[in-house]
Amino acid sequence: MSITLTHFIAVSAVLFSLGLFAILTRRNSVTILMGLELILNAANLNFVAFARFSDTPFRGDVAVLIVIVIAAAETAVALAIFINIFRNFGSIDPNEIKTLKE
Amino acid sequence: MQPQIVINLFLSAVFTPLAGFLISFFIGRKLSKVYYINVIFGGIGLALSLTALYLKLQFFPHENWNHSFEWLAINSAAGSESFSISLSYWVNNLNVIMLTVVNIVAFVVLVYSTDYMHGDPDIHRYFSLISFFVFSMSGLIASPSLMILYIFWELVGFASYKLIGFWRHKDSAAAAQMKAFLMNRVGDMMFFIGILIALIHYKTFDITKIFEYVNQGNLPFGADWGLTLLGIMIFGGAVSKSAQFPLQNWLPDAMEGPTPVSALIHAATMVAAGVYLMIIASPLLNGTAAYVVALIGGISAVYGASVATVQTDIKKIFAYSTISQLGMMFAALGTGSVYFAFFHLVTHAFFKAGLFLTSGSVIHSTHEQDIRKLKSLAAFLPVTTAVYVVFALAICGAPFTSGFVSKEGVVASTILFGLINGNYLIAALMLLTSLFTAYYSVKVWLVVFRKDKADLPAESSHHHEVSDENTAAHSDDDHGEHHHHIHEHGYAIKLPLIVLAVLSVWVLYVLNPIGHADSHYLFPYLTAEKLGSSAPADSLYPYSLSEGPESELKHQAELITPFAATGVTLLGALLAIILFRMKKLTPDPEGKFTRILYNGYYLDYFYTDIISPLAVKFTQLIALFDKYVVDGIVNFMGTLTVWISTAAGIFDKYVVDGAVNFTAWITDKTGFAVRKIQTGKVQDYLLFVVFTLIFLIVLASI
Repeated sequence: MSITLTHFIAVSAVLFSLGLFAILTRRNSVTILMGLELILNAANLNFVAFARFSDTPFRGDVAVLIVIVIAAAETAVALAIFINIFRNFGSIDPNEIKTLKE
Repeated sequence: MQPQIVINLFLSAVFTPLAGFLISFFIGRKLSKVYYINVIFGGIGLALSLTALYLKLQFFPHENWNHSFEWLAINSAAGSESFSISLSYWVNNLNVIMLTVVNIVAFVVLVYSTDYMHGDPDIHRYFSLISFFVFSMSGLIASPSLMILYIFWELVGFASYKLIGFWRHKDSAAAAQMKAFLMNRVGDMMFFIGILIALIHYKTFDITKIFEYVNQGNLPFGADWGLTLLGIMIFGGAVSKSAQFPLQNWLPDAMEGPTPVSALIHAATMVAAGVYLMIIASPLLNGTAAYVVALIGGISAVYGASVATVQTDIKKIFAYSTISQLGMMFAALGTGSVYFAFFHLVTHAFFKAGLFLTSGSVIHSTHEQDIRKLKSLAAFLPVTTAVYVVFALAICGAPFTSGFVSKEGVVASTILFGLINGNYLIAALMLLTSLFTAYYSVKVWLVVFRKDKADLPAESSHHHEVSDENTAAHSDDDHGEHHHHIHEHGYAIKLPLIVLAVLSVWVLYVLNPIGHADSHYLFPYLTAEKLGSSAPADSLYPYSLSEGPESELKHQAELITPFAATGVTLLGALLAIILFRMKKLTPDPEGKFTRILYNGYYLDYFYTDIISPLAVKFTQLIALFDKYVVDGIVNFMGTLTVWISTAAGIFDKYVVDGAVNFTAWITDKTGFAVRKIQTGKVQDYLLFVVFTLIFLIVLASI
């Protein structure tokens, strides 16, 4: 049994689902950020897998490098936002932040 | 010579008085002598119209110019019938002559008024109204369109009401004004109905087009009675305007106006409008209508002349005299001699204006208009007396006056009418009128002017009793001296009288005063064909003295007339002289027989005691109808509206408002239910997004 594209996509789907689950269920914003990273990596895995199994001359795996860089920058910005949220609300639990309702 | 020159002169003459009116009306109050502008414009108008007359008769004696331009086009909804109202003017021999006559009399009156009305505080109003009056009359003359003619017809009426009531502080003047207005309303309404008959049937206002239709046998309502009705309705307008029986009562009361106004009304403008209308509308008259015209004219002639014989007010004598002279014109018209009707209108305009200005001169000099208190004026007013003699001879129809020539024609027409169809009624009425006319003319001469040696010493005392309130209101303070001696006034009074006297001489109209109508200077210009109207088959022309071929009967009529007319005139004069010798010339107006005449056969009372109460009763009936039927309908409609509104209110409240409220309620409840999912938590929203996305993907993949 060889490893096919389907296996890669299945792993990627599991990764994506886990990340989504983390984002929707965690009570800590940092954990949510970690879930986000999982989703990004699931996408990265897809990029690499499709690049590996595709015959097209355009290699999507380059996009992975850009995503990793942007994820790092995004993490930095997100952490900065968390600090500010903590200063404003005294918590980074997303359930405590309900001002969107208003 | 371009026709346009004549037309332009004519139209300028028509509009010149309007300029005079506007100037003195708007700036008259500020400038004391502005009324001379009206006199100057009157002179310009006269010069223009005389020039137009000369050029027209000299260069274009056979032409009728009729210009019309479309003013308003009306298309009915169906599209099949459309008609246009056009404005138009015409220039022909008849109306150029008429315009000149109007302008001559108007100018003479304007000059005369500068002295007569001198010092009146409202003098600018007087002069502007006179100019307006002349303009209205000129406008009436200038158009063949019945609509425009009717507009100016009413303006003429309006100006005359204003002038009759010129001294508006006098109750009697206000009453006379209202009477003139009311009596004219009756005739004007008939005229208006006539115009509407013509409009409905012929779809045009242009009288020349109506003639064409009638000539083609296209009669109103398709029957001869339609044409009769049309003729009589138009004559109805002329009856009131020209003060004919039975709508004549307003004219004697119109004496409340200033005397020069009376001269204008009686000669050239107001009453002449009626005769002029009938002259231009004469091709519409069929036999029946023409006989009605002649009969009404004859009755009015005898009525006016007989009532004039016992009047004591010098102006009223001439007023009733006007009724009778106009009646003679209508009699001539109705018996077919349109030419003589017009010719008498022209000559009458001059001598009747002259008679009124003469009486104005008498009143101005003596402040008295009761002939019983006036005597021997020849000793004091030589010029006035001399011109009175000329005018009186003219109105009697004495040889070598203009009145002789025209009156012969009128009487001869009626006699010819009698010779042809054996109906001598009109002719008899004319001769009776001549008798009365001679009687009152000679009577005024004997009583007022004749120099009586026996009276002269008593003269000095006589002036002191003259302070009648009815006298024309003279406010000239500079005449305070005149109680001591009566004297002639200045040239402004004398010259107009002399001019009119000259215009009453026969040579201006015909060289041979007993000649045939052909020898009249004006006649060649005024035959029916020249006026552009060939007559319908059953028309008045078979009887006409002035139209158609020569015949034995015409010669006979012309032979009889001078003897008959002059005979009755002499008889009337003789009667006056005999009664004067018997000292019965000025009988008590309250006498048994004279009372009837003095009160004008009680026609005034007929109107005030019978017609007015009937009218009041009728109005009350109408009021009841109004109260119970019209008001009932209105009230019912009101109640109905309230009911409908209540029903609509209920519907509005429960159905319309219910729908709106229900929608609001649904929205409210839905919002209340849905707001719970709006938690404000990012994770919840994200959850919705995820599930919606899954839902959509599932939906898309099915």
